[in-house]
Amino acid sequence: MTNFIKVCIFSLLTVGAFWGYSSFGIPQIKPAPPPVEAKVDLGSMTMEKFIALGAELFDGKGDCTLCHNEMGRAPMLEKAVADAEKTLKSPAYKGTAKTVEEYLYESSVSPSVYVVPGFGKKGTNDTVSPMPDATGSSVGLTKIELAAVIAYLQDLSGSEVTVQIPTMDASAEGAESAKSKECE
Amino acid sequence: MFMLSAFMPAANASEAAATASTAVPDAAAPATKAIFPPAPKLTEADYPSIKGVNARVVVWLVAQLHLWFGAFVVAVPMFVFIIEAIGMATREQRYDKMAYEFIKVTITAYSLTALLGGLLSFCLILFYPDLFQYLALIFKESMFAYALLFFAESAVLYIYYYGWHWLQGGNKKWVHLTLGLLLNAFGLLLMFLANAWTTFMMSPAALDAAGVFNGDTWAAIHNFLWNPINLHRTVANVAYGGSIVGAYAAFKFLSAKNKEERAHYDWMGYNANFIAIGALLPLPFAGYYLTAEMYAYSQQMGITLMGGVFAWIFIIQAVLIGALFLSANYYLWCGMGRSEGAHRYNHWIKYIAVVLVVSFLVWFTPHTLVLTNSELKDLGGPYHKYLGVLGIMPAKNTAVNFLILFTYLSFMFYRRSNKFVTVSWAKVGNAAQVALFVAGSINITILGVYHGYFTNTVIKIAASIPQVLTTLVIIIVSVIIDALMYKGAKDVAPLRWGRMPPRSQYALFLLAVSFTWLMGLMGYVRSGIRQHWHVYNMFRDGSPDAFTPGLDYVANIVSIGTIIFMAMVIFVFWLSTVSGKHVVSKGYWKEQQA
Ligand code: HEC
Repeated sequence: MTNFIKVCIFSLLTVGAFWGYSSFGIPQIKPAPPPVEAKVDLGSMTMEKFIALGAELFDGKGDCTLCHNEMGRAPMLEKAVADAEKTLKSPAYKGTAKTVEEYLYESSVSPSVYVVPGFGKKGTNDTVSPMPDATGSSVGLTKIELAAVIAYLQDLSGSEVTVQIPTMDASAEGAESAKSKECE
Repeated sequence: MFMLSAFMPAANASEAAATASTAVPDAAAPATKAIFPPAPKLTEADYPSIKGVNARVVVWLVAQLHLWFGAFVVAVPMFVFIIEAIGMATREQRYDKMAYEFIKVTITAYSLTALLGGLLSFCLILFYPDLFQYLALIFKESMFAYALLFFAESAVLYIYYYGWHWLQGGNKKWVHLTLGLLLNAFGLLLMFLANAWTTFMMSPAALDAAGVFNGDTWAAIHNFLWNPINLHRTVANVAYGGSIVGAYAAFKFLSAKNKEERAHYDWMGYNANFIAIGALLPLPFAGYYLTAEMYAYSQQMGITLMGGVFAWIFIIQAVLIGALFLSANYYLWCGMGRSEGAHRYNHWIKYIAVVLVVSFLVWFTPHTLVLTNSELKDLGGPYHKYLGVLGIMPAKNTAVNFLILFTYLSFMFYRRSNKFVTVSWAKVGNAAQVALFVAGSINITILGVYHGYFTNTVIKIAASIPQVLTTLVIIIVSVIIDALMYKGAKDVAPLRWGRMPPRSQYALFLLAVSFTWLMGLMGYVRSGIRQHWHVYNMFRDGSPDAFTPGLDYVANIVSIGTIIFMAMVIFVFWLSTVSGKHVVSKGYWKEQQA
């Protein structure tokens, strides 16, 4: 019986040690909550607010900073506009974008059209981008939200923001079609 | 304009209609073909709740308990089969007895596995009906097959166990061994099927953009992460099963009444530990393979796995695995006390201990964490201020290789401790062994240092493969040299089984508890990388519990689960002791008239 109790105590202490280490021995990070569908109020939207929305999405729902950070997994986007101008002039670029805005849009929804050298999926010789489609199901930005992110990127690069704030009817239609999708 | 814009919320009603019709491509197909629904979009109201019950915690605990027991009962028949075969080959009955005792412990655990599996299904139907229905439609064939296979598995298990003493000798023994093989085949098949359901949720296959399934059963089963998980789980199960029966033997050892019993359970514990560690050694490689496949499947998933909250999990994992290695080594060193010849090796132990502890420390030095920017700000940078240099991946890989290498060395000393070499070239052989280890260690170190500090790759893991190869080469060559050198070697004296200090047995308990906790933790990661998705990127979790819990919360749940599991396991062990007891109660039964 004493052995039985000793073994139980020993096991509990072991569990306790692991529990303690995990609870107090390492920094506790609170994981981000799941992204929520925020209603974008376009009525009172100013460019300043629109850019701020983009910044928030870039860090939050868009999940862009998961890869676009100092760790070197993806190119930094602080000079996205200058980089895009270079890319558009480069003979290696085969996409359809003519302007920086179009390029940023294209890079976000079909990243494999042009892959920044060295950042392609392993073994694909930079023909396939590991980046998900920003409007695809995994990230799920809406057209309006993506426009905000691109406005933010332009602003971040210190260049003129060419993105237009979408009009009211566009957003109303968007909301309606989202509803009809749910009924499918 | 852009190909993929069809997946975006449509800008007008006609486009919405177009999306709707493309979402169900099979609509026009012959009626014989099943039409699968798109992934439902759920809200909190779609999840039934019971007052005072947290659905996720219940499902989490039940699933984890089912998995712990399942892993145990799938694994034990594997080594029981091998031990039985060894017994048949060597004609030493102690092997047969040990195999029988292992399977005896499994029998009760088997019913508990089934009960927990049933409970899990109930919980899923109750709390996650839409998800269950969605998956059940896609997996209807394999779920049905699974249920039937369970009957086959039970039948074989019962014949295998209850027929053990009946099917002895000559051809009958072969029949019995064949049953063992069948048992393993069924067990593994069952696990592989269940794995498919799990991995489908992580790496769904044959779904269109709306989550409509358009493949066949095989496509669903054979999804991207299925085989990596199959491999990883099979190897891990063996290690886990070994550790649990090790705890059983340790418990019996401590409560043994006489010398013979102590000797028997000491021997059993030794074998169990050997199995656990043998399967633990290749496990990191299976883990690397699984992780690499996750990256290949989705970079986003891979980075989620190695970044943010989950990154710290791997630090905890390193600590736990370090504990496993240290306790296994400690057990081996204690075990050298069984031999009269161990004094020749004892003085080396302290050096091995130093290498192991240093490797262990390097291993759990916080490493370069992949974090989101806000998390980076919280922590003040990805590198630890002083320990950053040790925290990078190549330093860790180097440490792991040393851990494995020196654990092997402990084992080699253990094996040698009771032998006298008789071959004439023993000196040369020993010199070759030393040269092999020294050269190998230098090679591992140089590879680690070079790749870690003098190259500029994005992910500095280039060194890991040559390092692992070096370790494998050392071990394989060394095993060969040792086998030749000690061929026909004389025993110093018969091994004194049972001559073990009681504290050595606690190493076996540490092994079992650490394994259990570790599995629980990694279960959380495997499930957690789906984040707020039921089926990754396809079927969103709309329940109030869709959030990813923090580590302190996880530590609570895993600890509670481990304690429940250990309590149930103790119950199982106790039952197997009770079943062997016969109490004669004089005067209770009527005297039978002759
Ligand atoms: C899974 C990692 C990952 C995530 C998440 C991610 N990206 Fe990327 N992104 C990359 C990689 C890798 C590249 C470089 C390869 C390429 O050109 O596609 C890239 C390239 C880009 C480029 C082109 C840069 C250039 O210089 O040409 C833009 C613009 C971009 N990403 C925007 C975004 C936005 C906006 C988001 C969030 C909605 C995002 N990314 C999320 C990995 C990611």
